[in-house]
Amino acid sequence: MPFHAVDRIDAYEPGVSLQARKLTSAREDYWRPSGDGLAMPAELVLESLLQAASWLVVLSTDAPRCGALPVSIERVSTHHRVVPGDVLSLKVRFDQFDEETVVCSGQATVGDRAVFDLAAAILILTPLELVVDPADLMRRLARMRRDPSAERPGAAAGDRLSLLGPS
Amino acid sequence: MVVRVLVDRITLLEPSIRAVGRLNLPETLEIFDSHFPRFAVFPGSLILQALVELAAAVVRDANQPTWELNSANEIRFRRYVRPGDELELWVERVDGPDHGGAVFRARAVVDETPMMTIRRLELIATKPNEPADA
Repeated sequence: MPFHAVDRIDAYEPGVSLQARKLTSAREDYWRPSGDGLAMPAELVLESLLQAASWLVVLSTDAPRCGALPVSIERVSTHHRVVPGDVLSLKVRFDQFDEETVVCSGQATVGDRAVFDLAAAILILTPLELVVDPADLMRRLARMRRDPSAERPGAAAGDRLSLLGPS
Repeated sequence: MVVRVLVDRITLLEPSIRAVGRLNLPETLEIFDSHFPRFAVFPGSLILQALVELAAAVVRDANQPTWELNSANEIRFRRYVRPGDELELWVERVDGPDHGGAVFRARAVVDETPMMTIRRLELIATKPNEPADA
């Protein structure tokens, strides 16, 4: 199964903030025993927030970049368990954003209940083409934004401008 | 996602004090296909998860069999962890006996080179009859 920890992008403001979703399913295989049932490891909720921040980098830079490589995190904290079937709402915001680094914070909630907080994560911006195929990434981005026209077969990095309008 | 038990072997275990473990990262791991296709890196979040697993082994007993992450401070990712790396994990308890949770200092190294360090890693015991969202 691909290590994809964000399923939908609901809204974003380039360089500022992004709201996304991670859907959990009992058919995924990361669950571990916790209390009376199963819970998602909190460390994977962190991964979802970091990937959401990376998508915001992609959506915020003219020359496509990927902020997927964290160098430090000041603090993370858990509040509640995530159980199979929960939908994680992921909110990330940039506290600082320049040509080389991003400082971001975020929170994951389930319904109106905060489950995880991320404070002051520093990510280095890395050229997209060094880590992934930009065309593949843009197709996935279109899928996550529910953009049917951009999701057609053959849509590629050249379509990027049509994909990146603020939602 | 392919994430189950991460620590391959516990090589030293001093209950309530410290542990050392091993996490091997062969090229065959499926996670390297998507993280990332052109530059395979083992995710830092999963190294954190492995360190939490190891720390839980230090404090686990019959009364409190399961522990989970409560918080972590000053996490530093110092180098990329790549396919073929043999990751050695270290956790050492640093809290006093009256602390409600269990606080550790933790690090992951490859060939004695620090790859990831955590200044303060706090676990809490999971209470079987008291779900966290109650």
